[in-house]
Amino acid sequence: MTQRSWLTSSRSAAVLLPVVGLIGAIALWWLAVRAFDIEPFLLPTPGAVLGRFLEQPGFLLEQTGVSFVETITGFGLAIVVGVPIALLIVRSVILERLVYPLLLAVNAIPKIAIAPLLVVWWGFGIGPKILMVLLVCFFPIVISTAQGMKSTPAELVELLRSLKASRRQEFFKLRLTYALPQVFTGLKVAISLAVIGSVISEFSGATAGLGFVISTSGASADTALAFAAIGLLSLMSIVLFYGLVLLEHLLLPWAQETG
Amino acid sequence: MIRLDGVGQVFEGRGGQVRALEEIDLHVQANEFVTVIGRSGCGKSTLLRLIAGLLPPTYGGVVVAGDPVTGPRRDVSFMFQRPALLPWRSVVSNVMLPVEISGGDSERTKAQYRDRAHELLELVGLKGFERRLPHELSGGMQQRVSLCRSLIRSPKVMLMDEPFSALDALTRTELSAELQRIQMELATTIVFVTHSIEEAVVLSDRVVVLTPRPGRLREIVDIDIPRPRSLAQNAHLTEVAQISGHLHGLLSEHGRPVDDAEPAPEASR
Repeated sequence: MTQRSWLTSSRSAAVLLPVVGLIGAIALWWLAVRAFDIEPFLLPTPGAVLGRFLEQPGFLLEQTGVSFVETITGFGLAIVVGVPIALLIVRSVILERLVYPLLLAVNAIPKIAIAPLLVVWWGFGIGPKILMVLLVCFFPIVISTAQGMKSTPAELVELLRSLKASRRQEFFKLRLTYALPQVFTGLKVAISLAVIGSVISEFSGATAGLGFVISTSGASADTALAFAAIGLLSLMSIVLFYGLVLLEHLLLPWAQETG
Repeated sequence: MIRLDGVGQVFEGRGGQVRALEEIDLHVQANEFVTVIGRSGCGKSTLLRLIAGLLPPTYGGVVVAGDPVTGPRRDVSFMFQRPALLPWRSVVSNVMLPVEISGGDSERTKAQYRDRAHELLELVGLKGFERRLPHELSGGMQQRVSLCRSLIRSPKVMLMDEPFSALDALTRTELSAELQRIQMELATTIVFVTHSIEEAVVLSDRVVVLTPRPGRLREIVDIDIPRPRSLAQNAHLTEVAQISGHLHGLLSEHGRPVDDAEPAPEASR
């Protein structure tokens, strides 16, 4: 009984349990490779993957940095472009009807299909990678921001009207702040997509980045290297996600309770 | 202080026109406490919004403090059924919101307002809660904050739209006692909408009874019971019972009982 309540309620258990889960999964992976005698080029052991990382840590971290910069830049641009579009859509019904189907259409395109086109249009530099990230994560940001802007409770709008607030005051003091928790929901969805976007773009026409490492390691059957790169990718994704969660906690302490 | 002359309100609904209010003539004196009571859908809230300038009347005229009402005014405050606090603002900065919105004050005036905010919060028993966020307070405490916010600019007129109807009975009793005290102290004119006969009898100088669909004046009842009155105990039980009985009779047409417990806000918007 005491054991159970410790596992569900204590803070150290909240940190410890995921670690136990992770170690368990890695142990199972290792056991499976050993027990079924799987060829290393099909599935390397966890030790081999770690060893492969330690062979070229500088190189792999540099590639992580490349992917990180592409992801963050594209994500930042998606915010810069997406939030104003959402604000415009919310303000004008005409604009919403005009632009919304286009946004849906762009979002419906499988992005991997246009990766080679971006290379044709824009060459091998970082430009097409950033554009790809932007395309992938822009939509959830627009949608959640627009939804957030529409979610202002009627009574608060009426309150501001009764106080003779200007439209500007109503926008900044009420609607925008009220939308922020939903904006963050969109950002959290978008950041994971941003990482995927950067990898997709590095599959074609790239000379650096973790996606590039994965595609070249496939060609030389260096599976351990691919696994090392994948591990770094998911680590990056997790760090970015929890960075956003932390930022939300710091910026919007009121949002945890009011939803 | 407030005058309504032949005021009527017609809404364009999907199923055609809805006549919400008809031929309302009403004078409210300065420092008077007038309660508007009626069944759901009788246009009580609409009446309040017309006085507030949140809604232009379809016909007739509304005059507040000598000026025809054309929009919201800074010396008229509105209190809603729900607290309507901004969730990211602390208690004290929620109270300060009206000051901030109107702007244009010097630092000294602002500081005076801030002192006033602290005084008001102390007056309603929220001393020590100034820095809390709304979600950390109970419903009754939130509504007290909302009351302070509507008092911050010392309004000439306070319009209150069923402000205590979402609270539990005990909090309601406490707040109505506080409201009486505040009104006696600050000498404001109050128009208070409710569907509770009890509340109307305890709080008001006069009770305006509206009939539903369309909302028309049924009767205006004077209440001459000495103050302070209380929902809990009362030295004038016979008078209270008499007036309550009379109001009950006015509200229940054709022997239908009054929906006293009905919490739903009217479909007046």
